[in-house]
Amino acid sequence: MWRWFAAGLSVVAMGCSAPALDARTGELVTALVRADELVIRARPELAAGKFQRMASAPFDFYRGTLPVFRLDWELGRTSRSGFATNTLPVLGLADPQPENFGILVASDRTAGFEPNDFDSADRVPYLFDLRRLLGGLALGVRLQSPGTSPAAIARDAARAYAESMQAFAAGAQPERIESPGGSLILDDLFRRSARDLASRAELTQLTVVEGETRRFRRGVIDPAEPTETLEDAPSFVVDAVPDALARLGEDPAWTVLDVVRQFGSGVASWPRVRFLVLVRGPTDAVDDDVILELKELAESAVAGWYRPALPADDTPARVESALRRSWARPDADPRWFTTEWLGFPFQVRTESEAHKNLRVSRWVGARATPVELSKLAVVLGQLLARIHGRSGAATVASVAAQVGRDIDVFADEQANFAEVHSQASLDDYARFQAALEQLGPTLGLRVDPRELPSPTLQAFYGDPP
Amino acid sequence: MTSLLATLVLAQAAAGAPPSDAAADFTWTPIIDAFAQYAARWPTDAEASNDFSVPRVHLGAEAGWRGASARVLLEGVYSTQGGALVGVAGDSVVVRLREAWGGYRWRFLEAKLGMVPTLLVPELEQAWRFRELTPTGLESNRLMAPADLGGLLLGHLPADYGWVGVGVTNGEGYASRELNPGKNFEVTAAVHPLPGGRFWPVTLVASAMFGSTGVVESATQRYGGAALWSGRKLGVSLSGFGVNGYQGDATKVGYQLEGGVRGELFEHLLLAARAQYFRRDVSRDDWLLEVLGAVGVRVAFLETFVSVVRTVLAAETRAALPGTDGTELRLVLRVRWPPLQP
Repeated sequence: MWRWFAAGLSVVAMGCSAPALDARTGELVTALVRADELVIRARPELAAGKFQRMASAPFDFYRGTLPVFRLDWELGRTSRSGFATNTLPVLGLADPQPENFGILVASDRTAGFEPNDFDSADRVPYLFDLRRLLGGLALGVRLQSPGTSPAAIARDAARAYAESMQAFAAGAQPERIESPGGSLILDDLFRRSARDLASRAELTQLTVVEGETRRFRRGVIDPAEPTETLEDAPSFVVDAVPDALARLGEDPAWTVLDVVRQFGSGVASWPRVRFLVLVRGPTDAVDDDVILELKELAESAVAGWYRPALPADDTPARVESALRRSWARPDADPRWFTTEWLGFPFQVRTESEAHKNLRVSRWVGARATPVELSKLAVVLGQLLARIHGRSGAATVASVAAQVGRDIDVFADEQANFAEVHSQASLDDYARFQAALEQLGPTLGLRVDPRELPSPTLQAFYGDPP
Repeated sequence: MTSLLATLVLAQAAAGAPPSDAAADFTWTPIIDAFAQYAARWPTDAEASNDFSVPRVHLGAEAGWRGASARVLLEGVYSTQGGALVGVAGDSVVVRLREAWGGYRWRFLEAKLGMVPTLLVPELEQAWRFRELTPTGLESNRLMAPADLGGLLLGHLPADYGWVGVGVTNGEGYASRELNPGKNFEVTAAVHPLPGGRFWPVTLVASAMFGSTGVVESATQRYGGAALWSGRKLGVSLSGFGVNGYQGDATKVGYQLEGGVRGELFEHLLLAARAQYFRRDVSRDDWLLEVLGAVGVRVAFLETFVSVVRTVLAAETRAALPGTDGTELRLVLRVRWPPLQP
């Protein structure tokens, strides 16, 4: 009787138009909406673009699901482990999924394989970072190499992580990854990076020379990516760009030649404001011009853990400290820094075709064999350990002691997690697509036009094509 | 419901208690409620830390004229750590409404509309009184909000027997925006079974809340009760609540148990102890236990405490909620106006 009464009142409480979506879909949607609520309310078209991008492919979906990963962690679904206790928090990336790694070219023009996304970098349990990596790795394997065991690849990565943490605890020095080391996937990255570094491919792709001056193209650059466009930037933005670049110094090399707004880049940060800035370079010649990317930063998706201790005073400081700490050398990208600009936290970095991202979609052919995927997994596990290894001696020792209790069991546990989680991600992807279809472009959050920002702020956010 | 209303009408007719003459005049009261604290923490899964902070600043006023009443209460809170609030730097304090309502009492009926205090949480806090030490677990575990946008209708029972109230609110609490068109319904009764004598402080509370949360209207239900002794010198509270639906997971079933005691010795010396146990999921070993002990002094509108809080989590819960398991030593100062009434 009581149950019937409660159920009846709950139906009334939920209104007559309650969408018929299952409980998991509800969690998924609510986690994503809560994480981006301010963005959805203030720039609904851009938020819709992000959700559309997430719905376009399973791995793009995974890239946008860090808030869901956090929710599952807090509900005990992804955090259950026999190796979670008695460890101190690491200074981690929070979102070290495989596509957040890639080649960066340092000031001496040497290339290194490094993490390249610090948007959510924060203090996290070491297992949170590791499992986010393993989940992405296993998902990539499922998508690109159906005959390969996701668990086996994840096990290799987990084992490499554990052994590396033990080595760092014992005093091993971190090393920069400067060569493919026999990995075809990394070889593909390094090779294409070197090719595009030599040709300055970004200048060819994104700019044209008119007279003696280089300027950006406008509109769709790559017909295969029709939502990725370059548009005119508002004049007040163009005028303010030198302020954003103040940390580069007064060198004439940083004379601004052109500024455009970039739409459609990234997944999790799709709705964030991005501008590309063309600067003059060391000489007046058009061939040494440099492109910089200005990207709006946001609060970490895992903010609030270990409260009240914070990783830094504010968002720019959090991100910059994370990247300097995570790289093998502080100038892995010599023009990457963070700042506060026009009242928003921003990061500035080099926009270069030599900065190749690891892309799951390129795990094909000879690069998608179990052997090659395993080699990549080992490198990623070691690299994540290197990043965590900068968290302080006590932290590193606590993690090393925990994973060292039994590395085989540890690796098996993570392999099992990755296998289950990667399948769950595919299931969630299907749910997300259905929810987007049913709830609409902002996932059911109704935007009040009265809350839209002022015309100036809207001009800053931009209106996607 | 019909029989309940009939009972109330008949009881009121028998009691025949119109508003007092004093209540017919305009009155207003400024409200100040601020906590300042120094806290040293020793988490079991993170480095020790210590800091000064101001966890609460409430400023407001309440006015009344005959049966009409209104209250506006502003709350100052820290913005998030940076970036989430447009144009607000990370460590800024932002102001938001904690309460903003108007109401009217006619005979035994009282209605409020606006950003209203919910029914259950304030009643439990009134028995505990020392919010600066720890909020009720219903609030700290985000099971129920202390205030929300909506309306309340209370029926005051005759002869000081207590009240029965119904509330309809948005359901996301005063600190979050509404995400769905569904509403929360709360029914709460607080009854003094032995009014008019030395046992008046005995209060029995029963409450049920039905609602939803999130864009997809994930169902939430809370139901349970409390036995309270809300005396001036002594307060005792025991409560238990069932939890259906938690953190957007409508299938999750849990419960919370809470017991507390407070006492005042020699007019100024305050003692308090409280334990809260929250089973987040009955199907798993997933729980939190918080035990608090405190000793303090009250002088006029100031209260100050030294407290020790030990929070223990199941191993599984500890992994899920980083930084929560540990011990905390706090020195707390509360400024409260109007001063605490007996």
